[in-house]
Amino acid sequence: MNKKRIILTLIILFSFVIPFLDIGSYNLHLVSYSLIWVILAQGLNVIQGFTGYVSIAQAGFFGIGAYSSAILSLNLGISVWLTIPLAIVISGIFGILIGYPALRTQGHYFAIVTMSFTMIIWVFMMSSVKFTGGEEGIPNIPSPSSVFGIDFSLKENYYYLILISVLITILFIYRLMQSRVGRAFITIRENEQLAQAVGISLLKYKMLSFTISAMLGGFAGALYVHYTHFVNPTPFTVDYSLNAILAVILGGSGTIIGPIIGAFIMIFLPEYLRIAEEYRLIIYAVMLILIVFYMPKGITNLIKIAYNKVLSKVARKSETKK
Amino acid sequence: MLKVENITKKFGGLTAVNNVSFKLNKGEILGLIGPNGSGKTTIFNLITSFLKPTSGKVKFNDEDISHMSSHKVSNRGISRTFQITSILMDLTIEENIRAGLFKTIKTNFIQDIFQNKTYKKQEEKADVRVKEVLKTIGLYDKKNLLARNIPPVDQRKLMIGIAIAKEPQILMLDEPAAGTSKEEQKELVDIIRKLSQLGITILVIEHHMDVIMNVCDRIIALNFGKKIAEGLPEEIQKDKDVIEAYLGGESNVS
Repeated sequence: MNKKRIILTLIILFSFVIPFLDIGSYNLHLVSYSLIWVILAQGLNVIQGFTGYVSIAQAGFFGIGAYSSAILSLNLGISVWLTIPLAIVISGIFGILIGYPALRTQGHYFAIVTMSFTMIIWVFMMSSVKFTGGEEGIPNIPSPSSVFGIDFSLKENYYYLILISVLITILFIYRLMQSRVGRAFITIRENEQLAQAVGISLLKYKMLSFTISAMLGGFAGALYVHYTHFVNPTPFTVDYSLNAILAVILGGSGTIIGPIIGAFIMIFLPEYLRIAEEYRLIIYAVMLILIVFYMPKGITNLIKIAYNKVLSKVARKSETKK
Repeated sequence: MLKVENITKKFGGLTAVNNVSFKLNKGEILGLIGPNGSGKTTIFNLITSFLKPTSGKVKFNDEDISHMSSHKVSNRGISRTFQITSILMDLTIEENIRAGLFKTIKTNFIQDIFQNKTYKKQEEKADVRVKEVLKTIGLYDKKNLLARNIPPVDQRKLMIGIAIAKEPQILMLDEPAAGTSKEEQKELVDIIRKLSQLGITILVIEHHMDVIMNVCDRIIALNFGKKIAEGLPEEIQKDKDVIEAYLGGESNVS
């Protein structure tokens, strides 16, 4: 247990010094963007990984969070420190509205309902030009105002806002999964009949799970929009919902580390494949297929197996020495 | 304690349960027997609201529970197991029992996230209860194993463990000894007796005559969805209708 603590502390410390390392502004941007995706994927993992319902709505909630915070801060002049929590609440409300009909269905039907939702949201973003600026989007979205002299319009400083948001999100999920609510989610995923027999209201806890995932999607969206200062409907298509699902599966669904690893892969891999130019997307696709094929439980599981192997080898060596 | 009143369930043209009434008295072990398709499991599903009756009522402590949702029936104090082993295969034995404590742990969302004193106390109480249940069903030594890696008889015990974790008033066992050997059946009978001594009222469906005749205070026999006999085990063994319907003419009931 102590070893895990030390590794965890080192990783967190490392993530705090990243802006001081000379990795270039583009790489820092990729790290920031990946971290935003970590929140998005952690959210999706609640419903997909822990509760067992694969939702294609995550990009929709990402979009709702983004546009809510953008419009509230720009048009109504509300402080960004307030519009981010408001965006989370608004996404949560949409989560309840969509979850109520969607969660009465299962399997493919749930996927179709949530996918339709993402499509509707996207069409709304594209077509209601007055409200969302249509395809041209909304420019000049403000940064959060300075606190203690820290200017959040600087990317280096905004990085810390994202990082702290990620840490809070992960702590929240960790605690959630240690509670009766988290265990209820897992019971539903494993066996709905048994869950009912044990006294778990299926609809209530599936709704709760879906709403939490929507709120985290919205949180990611709000952070994103004050980071880029610009929003248009492009990053909120069904494609991005599928990417989020992939991030969870690649990393390892139903684990806390999984979505973190998955989010970084989904952002970094296509960027670093740019060296291969036109073959980029093909290589990317092949790699995804191979990962899903040979590591159905995700990369987290692979690391676990490797870690245990190393441990047992070390143990065996020390035994033979004796 | 539990009253089933003129309950009928029709699936399309098929009448699975036809006007059945009976009472479950506090503290007893009541057996439900009958050939395949005689409506035993359907009655279980009607009592626990996994199915809604076409007509008739189920009353628990004078409250009509026949149209309540299943989780509410469970939370009133009626626990059940399933004919097909129904456990959380990818979790450990301990985690399985903990899943059964869902309603016993009384914390709210805020307490869960901040893990305050109430959370810690409730979780500690749950630890104690998990240990108690594991000892009752005799799986304490295996608590860290995954449910999928233990033998079928232990899985049956685990299913009972999940059901009794929250200290129900009534425990309904749907073929607890399905797929077990004679030796293993003895272990299960011991567990059922132990639970009865702990004050749990038990309703049990079983095919193994040894088990049912051994463990039950009273037996109800069904055939084609109708109640054909009710009485003490000795009476049921001698009942003509039961011998004819259930055993198809064979007379070596023992």
